[in-house]
Amino acid sequence: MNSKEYDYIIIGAGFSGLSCALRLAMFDHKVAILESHSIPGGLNSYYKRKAGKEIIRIDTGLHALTNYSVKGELGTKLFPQILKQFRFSYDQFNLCPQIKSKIILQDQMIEFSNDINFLSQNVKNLFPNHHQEFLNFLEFVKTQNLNLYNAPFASGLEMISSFINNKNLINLLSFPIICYGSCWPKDIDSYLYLSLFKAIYLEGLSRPREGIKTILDLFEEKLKTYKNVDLIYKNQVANLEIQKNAIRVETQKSTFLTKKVFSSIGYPKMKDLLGEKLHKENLSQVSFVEVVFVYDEEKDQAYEETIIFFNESETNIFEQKDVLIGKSAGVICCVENFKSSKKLNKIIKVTFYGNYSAWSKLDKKEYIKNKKTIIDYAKSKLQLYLPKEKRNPVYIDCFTPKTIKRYTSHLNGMVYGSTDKFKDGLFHASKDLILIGADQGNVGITGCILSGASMANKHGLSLR
Amino acid sequence: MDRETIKKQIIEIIADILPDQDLSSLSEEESLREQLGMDSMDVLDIAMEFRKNFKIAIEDEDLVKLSSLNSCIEYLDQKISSKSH
Repeated sequence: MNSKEYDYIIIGAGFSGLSCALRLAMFDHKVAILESHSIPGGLNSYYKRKAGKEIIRIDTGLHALTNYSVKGELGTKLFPQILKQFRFSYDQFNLCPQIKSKIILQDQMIEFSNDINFLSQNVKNLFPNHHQEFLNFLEFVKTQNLNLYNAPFASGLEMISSFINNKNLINLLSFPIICYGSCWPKDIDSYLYLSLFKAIYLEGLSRPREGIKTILDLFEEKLKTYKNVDLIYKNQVANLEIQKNAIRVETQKSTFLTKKVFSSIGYPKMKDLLGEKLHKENLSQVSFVEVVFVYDEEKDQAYEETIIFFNESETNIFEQKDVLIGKSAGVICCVENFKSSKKLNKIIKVTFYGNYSAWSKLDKKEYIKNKKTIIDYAKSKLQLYLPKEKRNPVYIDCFTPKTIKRYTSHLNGMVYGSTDKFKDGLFHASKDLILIGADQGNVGITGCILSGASMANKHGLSLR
Repeated sequence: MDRETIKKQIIEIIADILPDQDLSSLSEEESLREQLGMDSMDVLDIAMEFRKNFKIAIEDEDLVKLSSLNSCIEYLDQKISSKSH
C-alpha cells in the first residue's frame, strides 16, 4: 500500500486541530488533518433535528464563547489575538455579547456581565468588607503573563484564597470557572483558573449569531483555500508508529508518513495508539449530561438572563462519584438570549455534571428511563430558576457522557481533557509527537484555538 | 527592490494581519507596538510573513529590529540587497 507523505499530520478536526493546521498551512507546510467524523468541531460541533415544523441546528457544546472583545480593540485580550493569527476580521464572527448571567449558591446570588465594573459593584454590595481584596485579586489576574506559565499543578482555589478571605465569595466566583474548565474533581489548576477568570469575567461572554457553525465554517473555508492542506474526514487513526526517519500514521483506509504529529485526542489515547501503558488515574471523571429544550420560535419570553449557574449544596459539584448526574448543581444556558441576537429565544440547555461509569452500567431500558427522569428534573430546575419561561417545548433532547464518548471517542466522555497537562505540548520521548487542545492545558473554544496556534508556532514554524 | 515597494509590501502584510485597523496614518518612526498594540507574537508573525514574501531567513535575535515601520524597511532593504550580491 502506498503511503501519502506530509510535513505534518494533525489528528482531530476540533478547534485545536483546525487552528493548528491553518497556522502551518499559512506558511506553506504540507499538512493533513485526520478526523473520524464527517464534519469538523469535535466536542464543539452541531447536529440537526426536526423540532415542531422546522429543522433546527443545535450546537453540541457551546454555551457561550469566552474572551469577548469589541471591534477594533487592541491590547492583550485573547480574541483580537485569534483574529490576527488567522487573518480573520471581527465582523466575520457575528458576535452577540451576553445580556447578564447569574451565579446562585444556596441562598446567595451574584450577577455579572461583560462589564467588570458591574461585577465589582455587586461584590461591593454583597461583600463590602472584601471588596478591596477582590480588587487586589483583579489586579493580580491582569498582571499575570499566561504565555510564560509553565508550572506543575497548583491549586487555583488556594491561589484565590490567598487574596480573598471569604469562603462564600470565593465559591461564587469559582463556580463558573470550575464548570467551564476543570477536569479535576475538587479544584482547578491555577493557570486555568487565571485564564478562565480573565476569559469569563474580565473579557466576557458572547455567541456567534448563528452558533458554532459560523466559526467552524470560517476555519474550514480558509483551510480549503490552501492547496497544501488535505482535510480528511471519516478517517480514524488506528495506529501510530515512530520509525527511524518518519512517523507512520495509519487509519482503516490509508497510511501516512510525516515528520511530526500534532494530536488533539489527548494523552491517554496517544499512549494507547503507541501501544504504551496507560495509567487509569490520568482519566478525568468530569463529564456532562445536558438536556436541550427547543421552543416555538413564534412565541417569545423576555428575560435578561443569559446563563444561570446554580449550586444548592455545600459540596463541590464534581465531588460526587459514580452518580448519573450531580443533582444539586447545574448550568442553565439561554442559548439565544444574547444582545442583538436576531432570533427569538428558541433553545435552552440545562447541564449537569455526569459520570461515565454510572451511565455505562445501565442497560438500554434503564438508560432511556433515566434520561426521561432527568429531563423532568431539568424541567423542575428551569421552573425554579427561570420562572418567566412558561412555554412548552416543541422538542427535547438529552445527551449523556455515553453520547459524548460515542461521538467524540473521548474516553470517559471527558470534556476538559485528562488530568495530565503538557503546556509545552511535549509528552513523549519523541519530540515529534505534540499534544494540542485540552491536554496541552487550554480549554474552551478560544483556549483550544490558541492552543493549536501556539503549538504550531512553537513546534512547526521556523524563521530560518 | 526600492524603499517604497518594500514599504508598500510591509503595509500590505500588516493590513492582512489587522484587517479592522485603519493604517492610512501609520507613522514610520513610532513603534508598531504603541500604534497597533502589536506584541511579540505579532512581531514573530510579521517576521514569518517577511520570510515567506521576501524569501529571506531571519534570525531570532533580529526580531527586536522590527519595532517600527522604518526599522522594518531598513532591515528588509539590507537583507534583500545582501541576498542579491
